[in-house]
Amino acid sequence: MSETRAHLESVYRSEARRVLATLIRLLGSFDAAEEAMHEAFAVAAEQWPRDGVPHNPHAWLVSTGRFKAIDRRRREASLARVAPELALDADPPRLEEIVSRVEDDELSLIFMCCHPDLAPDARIALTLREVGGLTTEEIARAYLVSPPTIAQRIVRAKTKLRAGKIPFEIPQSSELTSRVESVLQVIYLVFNEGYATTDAATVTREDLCVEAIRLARLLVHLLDDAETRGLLALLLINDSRRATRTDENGDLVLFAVQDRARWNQALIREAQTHIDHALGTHRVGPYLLQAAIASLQVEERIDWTEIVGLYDVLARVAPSPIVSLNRAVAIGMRDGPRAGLASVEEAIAAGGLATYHLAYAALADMHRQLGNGVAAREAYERALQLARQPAEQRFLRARIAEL
Amino acid sequence: MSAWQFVTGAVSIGGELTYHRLFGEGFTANEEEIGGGDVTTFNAVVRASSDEHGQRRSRLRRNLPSNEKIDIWMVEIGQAQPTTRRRSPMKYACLIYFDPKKAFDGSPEAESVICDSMNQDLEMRKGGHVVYEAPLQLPEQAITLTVRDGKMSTTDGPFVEAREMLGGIVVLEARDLNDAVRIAATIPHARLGSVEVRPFVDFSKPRPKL
Repeated sequence: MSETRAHLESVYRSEARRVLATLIRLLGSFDAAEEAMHEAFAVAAEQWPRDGVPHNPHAWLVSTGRFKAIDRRRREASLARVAPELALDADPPRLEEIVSRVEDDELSLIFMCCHPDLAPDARIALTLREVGGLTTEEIARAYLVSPPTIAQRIVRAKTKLRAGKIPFEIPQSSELTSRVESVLQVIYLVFNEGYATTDAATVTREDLCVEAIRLARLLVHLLDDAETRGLLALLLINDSRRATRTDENGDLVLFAVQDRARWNQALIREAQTHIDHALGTHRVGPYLLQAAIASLQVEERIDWTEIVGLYDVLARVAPSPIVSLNRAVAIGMRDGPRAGLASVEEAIAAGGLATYHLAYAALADMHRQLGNGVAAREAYERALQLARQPAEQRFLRARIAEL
Repeated sequence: MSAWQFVTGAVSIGGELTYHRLFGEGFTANEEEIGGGDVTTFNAVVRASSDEHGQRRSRLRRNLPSNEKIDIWMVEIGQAQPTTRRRSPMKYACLIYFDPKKAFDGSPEAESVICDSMNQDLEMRKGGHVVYEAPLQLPEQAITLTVRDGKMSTTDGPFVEAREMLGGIVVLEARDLNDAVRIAATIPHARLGSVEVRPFVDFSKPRPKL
């Protein structure tokens, strides 16, 4: 009995989101699918201990959920004397069909949750809840907002899904690239939200990194594409250094002096495999380039010439002020602080970095290396005004004190 | 087989130990404490063959301080799935407010809400969500009391002028707030008035500071 219950729990963990995905396709409605999934698990909790666990639990849950939804809709329709709205006319799906399409369904669910017509905040909340299986309360805790705020985002997003404008499907190849981009962006933002913070509530925020990597792995599994592998590799490399980014007081530790022995080499190796594989396809996009840069930076001897070269490509493929800044810093590492200062000043002058604290921290660092104390202090103070994270503020204050 | 594997297990230990330390690299774990703090469950993704996993498990045993009582269960080993832990359901109170003048005016709309309420009670109970429900009589039937300086005083009512009154309470079990909202949206009186979905107090969290 308790064995069956443990089994049911593990089936819930592994199958709930996939059952939901398939039911959305079969029922043509997110709400009905959610309701049906819960009902299917309720029936399972009642029947499995008595009748044993079915041979294919996933297919059983899908069939049961679908049957429950039809039953419910018929009853409601006869009460209200309206025609059922669900896609019920089709014949019941065969077992092989449910099994063979589950990955497509899962992928369709991801594309639906990350649809560009949804607000960016809503995409993140919806993806974490419906694909990742996090609860509303957990998402709220991770984003340091109240549960009703997240709940509202999800409710509004679902209203949009209900309006039927957002399809449950794998996009056509003509728009696939841009739609994948939207999915990758959601995963990237989730990871960064967890990674960028080093202060309060660290534990729950780390969950976001774990979740983002899990989503990226899933996506690589479902959709083997160079940029997806690039994103996964980028996240893995960043994650491999997570433990060494701060010391026991929560203060930032500079990259150059991080304890390399504590970097997670297994994650770095895994990332390298994905990078090699993706580079082999000769379709180079921004995530893959960033991953390649990150992988060079965790090597024993850092090849800054190669890194500047990759930033040159990145600046062409996906130009942005932050890419220019990072390229400038890499030039400083390759050619020394004088060349670095010129490049950083050029990047700042090009615009878009006026409120970005790291631009001024980089500028200050170049001045500091050149012995320009006054200019360095001025730039550090500007950076300090703009920095939001307490750990970063402490770091900048320490630097000013050292001058 | 050397694919990523999903492992769920539980370990009972006397001291404080982290799985990262015990299992070493390639192992990520989400630990959550259950019971009196000496039982820890974990979900983990390990990159290991079944054999390798066996070795890790024995390494875990070896690494433990010998005087600790330890028990390890491996509940499940399978292909890695991007899945999630199942939490015990949370409790939410749905506070149902409506204008009694509208609810009992005999209009077809009001009648259909009352009729659906009867059916819906059964529906919600069948769905396994409802812990408790309490339709309430009108506030005129109520008595309101206060205790000040050890003395109790009472008044009839409230006979509030406000249009909306608290007309009933449903206590739900749901996976999360959105799940509770989804279920609460089926309460027929939401069509006439409003339903406030309120989480129960979680005593494991600090008290709110206002």
